[in-house]
Amino acid sequence: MNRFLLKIALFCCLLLIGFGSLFFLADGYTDPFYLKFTSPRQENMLLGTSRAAHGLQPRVLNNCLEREFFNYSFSLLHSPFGPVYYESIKRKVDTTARDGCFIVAVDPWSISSENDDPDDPSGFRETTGFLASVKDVTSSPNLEYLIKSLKGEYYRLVPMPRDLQLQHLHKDGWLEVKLPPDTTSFNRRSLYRAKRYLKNKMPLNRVSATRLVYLEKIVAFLKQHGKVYLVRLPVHPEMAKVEQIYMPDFKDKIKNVVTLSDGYFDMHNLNHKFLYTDGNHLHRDSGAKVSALVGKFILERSKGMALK
Amino acid sequence: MLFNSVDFAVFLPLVFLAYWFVTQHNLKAQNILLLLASYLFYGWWDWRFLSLILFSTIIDYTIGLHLHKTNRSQKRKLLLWLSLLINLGFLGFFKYYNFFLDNLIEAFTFFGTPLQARSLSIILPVGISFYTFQTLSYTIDIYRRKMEPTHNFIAFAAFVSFFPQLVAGPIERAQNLLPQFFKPRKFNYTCAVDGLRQILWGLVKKVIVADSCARYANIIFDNSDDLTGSSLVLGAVFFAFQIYGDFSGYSDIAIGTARLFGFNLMKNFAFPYFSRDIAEFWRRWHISLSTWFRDYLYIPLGGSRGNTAMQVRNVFIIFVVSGFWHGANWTFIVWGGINALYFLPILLSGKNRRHLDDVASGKIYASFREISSIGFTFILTLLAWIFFRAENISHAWNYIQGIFSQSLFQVPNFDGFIPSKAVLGIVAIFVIVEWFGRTGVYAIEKLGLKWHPMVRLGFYYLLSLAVLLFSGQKQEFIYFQF
Repeated sequence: MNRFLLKIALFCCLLLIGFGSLFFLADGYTDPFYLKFTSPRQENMLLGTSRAAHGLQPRVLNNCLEREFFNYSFSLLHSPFGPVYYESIKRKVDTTARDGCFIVAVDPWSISSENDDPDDPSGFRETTGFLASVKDVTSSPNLEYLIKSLKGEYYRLVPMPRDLQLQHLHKDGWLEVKLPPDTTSFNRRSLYRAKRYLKNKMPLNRVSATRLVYLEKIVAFLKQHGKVYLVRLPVHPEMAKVEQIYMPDFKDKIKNVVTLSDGYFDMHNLNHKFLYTDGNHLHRDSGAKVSALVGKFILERSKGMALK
Repeated sequence: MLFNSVDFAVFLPLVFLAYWFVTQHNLKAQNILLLLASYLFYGWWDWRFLSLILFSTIIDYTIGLHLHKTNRSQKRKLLLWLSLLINLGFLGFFKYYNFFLDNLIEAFTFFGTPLQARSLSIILPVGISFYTFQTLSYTIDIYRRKMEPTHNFIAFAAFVSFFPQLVAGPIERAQNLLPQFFKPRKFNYTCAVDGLRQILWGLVKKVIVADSCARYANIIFDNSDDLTGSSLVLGAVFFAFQIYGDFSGYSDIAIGTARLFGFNLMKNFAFPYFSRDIAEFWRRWHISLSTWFRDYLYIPLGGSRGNTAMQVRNVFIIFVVSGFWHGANWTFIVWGGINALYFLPILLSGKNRRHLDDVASGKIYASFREISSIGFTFILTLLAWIFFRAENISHAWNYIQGIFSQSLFQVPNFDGFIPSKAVLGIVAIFVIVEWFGRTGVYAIEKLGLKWHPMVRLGFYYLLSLAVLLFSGQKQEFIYFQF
């Protein structure tokens, strides 16, 4: 019996050591968000949902605007505008900065809610997500994030051959999806996604006054630390049609926030010019072009402002 | 308490240490400890249902003693019926009340006489179908004079509630398990190591195979209307491995855990997906339930004796009842009926006992003919599983129609198709390991016994690490709901 217990104890200790050491291997291939929680506080940030996480590329904007941008966008599930995202942004912004630049991607879904009462923040889906529970957003390695976000799916910690990985989160927070530009399959997926949004998502969603208030709060807070620009990123034309049906007065809905900001760039008239992996998300090549256009817009706006 | 939970990871070592150290190998103390541990294990879900299991225990203990005392045939029959009525009454109320009521209302409405009745919000006690059948085996065997009743209430209560197999089997026969509570139990190193190995393999099946497959099976079955035929085929395959990994994994953990305490439980699965026909499949799938129905229902009905009509009737009864045992839904009944249809031609042609040995016995690889038979049998089970998993009959029917459409030859289009390829890889590795271990009680029973001890230890280490890495998916065991 003693031999049995001794062997078991030794085996369990070795197992826990091996298991624990895997946490130190976490990187940009572990999950789509980990590195967003390991960088220090940031002066220039790209904010929004997954459309921004995929579509806004810091390295392109860095070249245009000669700043160091960091993409702190997540997904519609985690970072629609609301108290959770607001608090997390406050933890991530370098509060000593006064000359930062912030690009906030907006769309109808990120100011909507699927709750019975869309204005009740206690029922927002993101309140149970990792963005709400992880308080430390600047440590490396970030054990709090790994434990809370992986929810036991620790196999993601095991390093896999990088060529096999479809997603790569860069150190600057950009989430790269490594798909070759395949127009046929992208279009098929985009049409399917747009159909599902129309059939399943649209009937559940309603505009949330609370989310609009928090969008304003976020912009007001960021204004204390620099310039804030709003951008409506392009989507697949079919998806744009769905959004037009869902919220034809989107521009009116956000007009107060637009007034508060330093500029609003609506790219929906350029929807047909880009490639989308699934209707919502820009392909990386298109994302680079869109980021360059956003950079150009900001440059022109800041020049115009300087002239004024 | 789930086997794949932190709670159980704390509970098991504590009970193990108390069992072998605190009780000082005293049989009575060991049985009391097992009883208390079992009640704690069961009460962890919902302590209110402990009263149910205690009531069943008292009833069958008392009826068992009275059955033995009396020789009057009428009284013995009455006692047996009393036990059946109480046990099956509980089962019927908790599991089938709403089903019968809803169907009754529908039937009356169909004939133009709407019926006013309300369904009750009944919580199904975990494992009620399993322990009910286990206690029934005790009463029926005493009635048949195949065994004598026990006068030791503690041992009997521990037998009914024995925590390793309480909530999802194997459904033990009193003749096998109960006597083990009266034999002195001493720690056996080899048995304990073997038990741990079987627990490890059970966890691999449940945590890595079943829970990974569950994710994609759920996505596909929940969105089946919008998916291509190829996606639906994959959904059925994922579900087939989910249910096998889930249930046989649970059985392995149960059997392994029992071995740690010096008990031997019956084998519940014998590599069913390597079966060459449906008859063989049913000798290898959920053996404890199949043999229970065989001994207590099929044979009393006449079994395969009698004329063709009798045989057909008996086969249909046993398969449909077996389907209904799984749940109060027409999908399970149809699933049972389909299996009866599969089984009948084999029975009527006298080929139902054609494959009693292991496939490719003594060989490494199977012949083309054997592979074809295995493949054909697997496809038949896949089609039947669709009914088992579907929400209702029309869902299953639409699902099957979706498979046999032109989109069968299109690329799968469900969310997560690309990451699901990794799960298919896991399934493939799992099938290979099971194939090479198919002559054992469980796949890794003999695997690596000839390896260098350090290599073998490394293998177990990697498996354990993999279980930890996948441990967070936490899907409940499917059979808990039965």
